[in-house]
Amino acid sequence: MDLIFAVLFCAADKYIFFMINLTEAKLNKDYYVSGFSGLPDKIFRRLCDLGLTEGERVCVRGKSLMKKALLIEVRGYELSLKADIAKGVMLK
Amino acid sequence: MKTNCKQQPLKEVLLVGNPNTGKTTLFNLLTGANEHVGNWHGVTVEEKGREFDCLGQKLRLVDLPGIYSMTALSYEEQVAIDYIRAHSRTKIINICDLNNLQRNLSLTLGLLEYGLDVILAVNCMDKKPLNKLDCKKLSSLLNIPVVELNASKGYGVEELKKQLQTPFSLPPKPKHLSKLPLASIKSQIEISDASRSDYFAVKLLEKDETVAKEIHAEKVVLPENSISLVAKARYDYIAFLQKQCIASSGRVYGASKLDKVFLNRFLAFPIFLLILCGVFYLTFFSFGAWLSDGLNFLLDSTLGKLISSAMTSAFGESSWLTRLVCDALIGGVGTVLSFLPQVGLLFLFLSLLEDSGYLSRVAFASEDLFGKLGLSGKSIYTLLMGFGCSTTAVLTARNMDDKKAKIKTAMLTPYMSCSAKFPIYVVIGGAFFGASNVFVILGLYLLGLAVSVLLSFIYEKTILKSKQQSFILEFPPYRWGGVKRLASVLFENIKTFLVRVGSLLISMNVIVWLLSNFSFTFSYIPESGGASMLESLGVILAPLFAPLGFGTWGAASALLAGVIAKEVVISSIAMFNLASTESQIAASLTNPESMVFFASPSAALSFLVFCLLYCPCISTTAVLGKEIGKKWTAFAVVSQFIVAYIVTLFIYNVARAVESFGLWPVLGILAGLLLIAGCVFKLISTIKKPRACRGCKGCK
Repeated sequence: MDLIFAVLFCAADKYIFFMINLTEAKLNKDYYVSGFSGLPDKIFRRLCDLGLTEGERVCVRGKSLMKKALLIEVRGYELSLKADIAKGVMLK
Repeated sequence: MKTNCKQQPLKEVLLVGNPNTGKTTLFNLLTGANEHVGNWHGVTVEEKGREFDCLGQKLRLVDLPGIYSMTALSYEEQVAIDYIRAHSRTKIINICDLNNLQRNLSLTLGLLEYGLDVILAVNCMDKKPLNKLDCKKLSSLLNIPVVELNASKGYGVEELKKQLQTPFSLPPKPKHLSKLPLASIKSQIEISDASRSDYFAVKLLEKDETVAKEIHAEKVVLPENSISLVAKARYDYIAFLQKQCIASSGRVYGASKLDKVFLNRFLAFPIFLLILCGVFYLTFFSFGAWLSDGLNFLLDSTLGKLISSAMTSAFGESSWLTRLVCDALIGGVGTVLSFLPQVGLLFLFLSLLEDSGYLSRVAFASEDLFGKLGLSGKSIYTLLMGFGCSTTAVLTARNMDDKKAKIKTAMLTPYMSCSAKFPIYVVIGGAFFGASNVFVILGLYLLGLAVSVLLSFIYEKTILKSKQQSFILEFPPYRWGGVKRLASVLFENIKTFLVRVGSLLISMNVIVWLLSNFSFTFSYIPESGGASMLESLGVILAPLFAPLGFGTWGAASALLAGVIAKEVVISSIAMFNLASTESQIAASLTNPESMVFFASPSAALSFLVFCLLYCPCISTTAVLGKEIGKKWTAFAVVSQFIVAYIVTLFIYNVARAVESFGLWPVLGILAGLLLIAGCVFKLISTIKKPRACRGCKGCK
């Protein structure tokens, strides 16, 4: 019984806290920023200035043809980001 | 830190705010200036000051480029931040967009951290704003005056002026600072100015390299994730403020149903090209051409005839003064003047595109292509403005954050066919290609784009390899500027054009006429015979252009004069050929007896291509020199001449081959050559690529 619970808990944990980055997010679905990785300080700071802070709700609204640019909605406005930068924004 | 040592006769007021919140609109409203505004972030790229009357007191208002925080990412942001820091004892009007208050307030907090006397001006541009604000409550919470106004209509400006009358006083530090571990940072650094210690501590937490260097505090121990910490503290405080005094409608700023079409992955780019073609068609062919023909008729048949008959009766038919007025002024300047409606229309359409907010969508869609070329989608703004005037377009390259990308964008802008060049296409192309000139002109515009894309690719691979571009771009909402705004844009551009024609073009034409009608011994050529000054020079240059199919000295000297301003090319040709209307010029261009003539349509095409690509005009060169330095400007000018020469040579020879062998064989040969080149390229890259050994895990 304990084993089953452990497995279930593990799966649920993985399901709920499964980390993806912004480029892998589905269109028009709400996510929450969980962290940042591999971004240079100046870019990270700019994203923070723009309101893309940890725990904030984001939603991908569009992608360009080759998926090199993303359009996201954050803090009540729309912002477009390059995919290279969006890769550094982790979501849950 | 720079301090302003100059004696300032007038008290200054700074306009600070996020990009695209209406700073310049308010600046224009208060000072009566007519600075360029647009629905795009980063239209203003340098500080501009002008005095205005504030309830009887004269003040100097300074408009600064938009910033997101007190740490810069691009050049124009640095300009603004340096200016603010050098003028910290002045009053600051911080404009916020009511529809996007959260992010705008983040800058306000940044300004308050620095300890500035801020007046918060909340700009409400729409009839149905997304947010509702309780100004009094926000004012009491932040301890700064808050004014609600409409920068385009003028509502609320009196209240703002009243606030500017109050004496300079510093508001208390914002409350979110208490949530930050500033004390531990402050203990590690030494700052002479105690009132700035909070600011420096926050900037160190944010890992601002410029500030760290400035106070020699590179080695300060920071808590983990400190950048995030500061941002969270600010935005948590803003969330508190929002709860207290902002009622949000829940709609998203910038979002629109139109984006479903304009931002569609597959449709976005074709739609943009379609819009561009539509603009060119309306400007150059249908609507614009009718207006231009009308004006041409009016100028030539009435005004021109009147002046020339008056001159003839006063000085006689062959007097040099009569010829100067008839050939240089009526013929040369008149030809360019008749393009006034088209230039006006082109600028009108460009400003419509800019105001509507569509350009951000285009930048988004073109990021795929431009990212590969080492540019960013933002370059499209600069390049599109290049269709209007290269000189002003080059300045807008400042909002690129990578220096090399900025140099590249600025260097490529002159390849865009500016509005001064299209009279050349219309007149010369019209003479040789007739109705199919539509496609020739469209082809020329596309050629300019193609050449710049190709060059950008080459530069990226060789001398100007740019770093990764941080393409972060906010989306403004779609907006309609109104008829009044369009009228003012039209008026302003017509005025600029007329002033340019009236000053630069007239003087250039007189100079060119004098040079082409007097010899080095100052004898009047039609009477004495011999070679004029321009002819002696042109003859030296002409052989250079012989391989391109237009080796006459007239064409060579027209091109030479065109370096001053591109309009001079066509006005000189009109003057040399003694023609004053489009049809007269067209007839003279095919006549071998006139000074400038083209033996075949391919020679004419080659001339057009050369005009499109060769050296930028003097004013663009000057601006380039200021923006990217002398070395790169020299490189840009020389490389542009070489590129123009090579491309023209290629096109001329292909066109000649088409003339003699027909279209299909030539196309076949070109396709074959392309295929061979492709194979060779592939072969070389395969040979060059190091082969992986069996079981290889990469060389050490």
